[in-house]
Amino acid sequence: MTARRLPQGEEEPPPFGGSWVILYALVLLNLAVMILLFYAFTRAFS
Amino acid sequence: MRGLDWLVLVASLAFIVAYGVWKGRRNRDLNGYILGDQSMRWYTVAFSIMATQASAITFISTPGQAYVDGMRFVQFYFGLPLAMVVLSVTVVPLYRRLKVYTAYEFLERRFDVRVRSLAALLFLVQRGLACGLTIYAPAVVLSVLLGWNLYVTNLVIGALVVVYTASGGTKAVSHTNFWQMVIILGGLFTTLIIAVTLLPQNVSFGDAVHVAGLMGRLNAIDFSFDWKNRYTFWSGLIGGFFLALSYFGTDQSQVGRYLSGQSVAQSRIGLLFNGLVKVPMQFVILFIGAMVFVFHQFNPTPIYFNPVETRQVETSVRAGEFHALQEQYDHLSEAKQSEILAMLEARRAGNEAAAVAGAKSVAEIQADALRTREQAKEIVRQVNPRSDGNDVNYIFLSFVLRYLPVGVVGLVLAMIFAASMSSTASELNALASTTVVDFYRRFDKRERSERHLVAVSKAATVIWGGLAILFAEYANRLGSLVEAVNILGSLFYGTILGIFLLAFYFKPVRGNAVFLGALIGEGAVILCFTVTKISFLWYNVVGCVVTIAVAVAITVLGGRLGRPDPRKITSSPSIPPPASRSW
Repeated sequence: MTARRLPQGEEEPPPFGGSWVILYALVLLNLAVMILLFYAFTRAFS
Repeated sequence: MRGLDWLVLVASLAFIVAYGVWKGRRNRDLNGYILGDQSMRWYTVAFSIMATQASAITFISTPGQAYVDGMRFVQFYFGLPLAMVVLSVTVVPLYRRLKVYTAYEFLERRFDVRVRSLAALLFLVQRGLACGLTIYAPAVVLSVLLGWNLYVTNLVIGALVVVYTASGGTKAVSHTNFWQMVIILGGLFTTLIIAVTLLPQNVSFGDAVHVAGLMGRLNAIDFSFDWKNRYTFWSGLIGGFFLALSYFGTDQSQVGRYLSGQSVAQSRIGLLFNGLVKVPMQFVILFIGAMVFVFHQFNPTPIYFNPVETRQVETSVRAGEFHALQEQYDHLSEAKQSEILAMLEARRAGNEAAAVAGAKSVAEIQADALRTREQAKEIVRQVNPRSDGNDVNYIFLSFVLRYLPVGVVGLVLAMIFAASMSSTASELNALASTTVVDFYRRFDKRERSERHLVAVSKAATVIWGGLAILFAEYANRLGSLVEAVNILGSLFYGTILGIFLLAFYFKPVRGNAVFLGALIGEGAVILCFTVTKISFLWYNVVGCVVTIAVAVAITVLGGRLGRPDPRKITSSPSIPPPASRSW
């Protein structure tokens, strides 16, 4: 199975999520939320 | 281990090996054997990346880490999602466009064959040794706790991996990694649920979390900045970022995983998925350790968890002293248990003053218990000078073997084996790929058929597998050298990352400057290791920054070393020249 060949310079879109920028932002946002949650978790229970 | 446990364990291992052999049965050329015909969907790539990174010791040691030190280890992974984004944007499309088999091929295109060979050689040495330890580390823990023969355990783990990795190459590795990760996640969540249900009837989940927090086991975040503190927010975010960038961007055992993706998009999603789930997954593993800690507040706890070293003390002249400490520890545990239950009762009744007083009392008894345990560990070290008195690796599996129900023990052991085999398989596959592509095919001038190259790759996998098993068999005789080999990764990753970053982002820099920069960068890391107490995560930053700074300085100063080498080899038999260069 091979991917569709794209014209040179054109970026293959992600299979879901709309655009790569959204997916990158999602990963970074997830990290920020995790850190905030862990901080709240540490403050609440320690 | 009961019959059902053996059945679960043997069935899981048999399934993995048979599935690997079956999935990798059609390999006609090097593209199929090393890149899996670039046919993997994103979820296979993602699980393969995760299974490769998570070795058995991750699952054996991490809960123990939370038991003794709390959850701050989770910060180690904060740089990883950032690195996944950077690699998805830059490295993945570049490697795919150049149609490389290994990361090191790219270095010859950019610099020269010396830099490629140096980086490939560093990888082979470092990963070859690490591969032996990937087999040895879980084998030694399993042999101590279950009484299995260490040499046979090493041999079984190694041989099973070699069978399907050699026969099926990357297809076998990636597809088995997927199922190994399924087993690992199944084992993890089952253990978490059972650990919580094993708590006493009068202790709720909320109470357990409260007790874990009170006793310092839920310290997930530490914003203080301290160079010597191994796990802080800053060392995890910055040092962890450099480590992840280097490991996932330049280590062939990971590069090979995402190069097998169907397309740039599938490879990228695989990496990004890892960036999404790695931190919460590590949190869950550490949380299991915190729950095991709470469980032990209400159940008998050995003062030292390594049974072999405990027996050595019990047969020595210090046995009486050790038993006295165990008795003292038991008394403290009983007193602590009463205080915890009283404190929880006061908390439920809304009696804040009594709850605070109870918490203070628990903390004081806990401090006494820790001092007692430290004394016992000191006796262990004195009786056996080769022991470091560290029983972290034995805590989680001791809990599993003593308290988990029949069948689940087999599942957890299958999880440990799966984790060990998945990492080892990816490492062997990468070692064979680098040996064949960066050395055999690069320097053998004869025209070789694809069939011949696949046969050589299989032979290289078997040879590296044999060497890894051999190293694992001798690892227990190396003593403190094992610890040195463990931090080997951080001694080299920074320099290798510096070389790759120069290749990606510093257009005017040439091979000679990079070569000298790498030597000085490596010297700086070794200096940090030998004469400072800087935490090892920072070595990655030091090696990378010094390598880049020296190479750029040489280039800017415009000396002979910064100019292009007239003898530079610009074409490689393994890399077709790209239509246009992006650097």
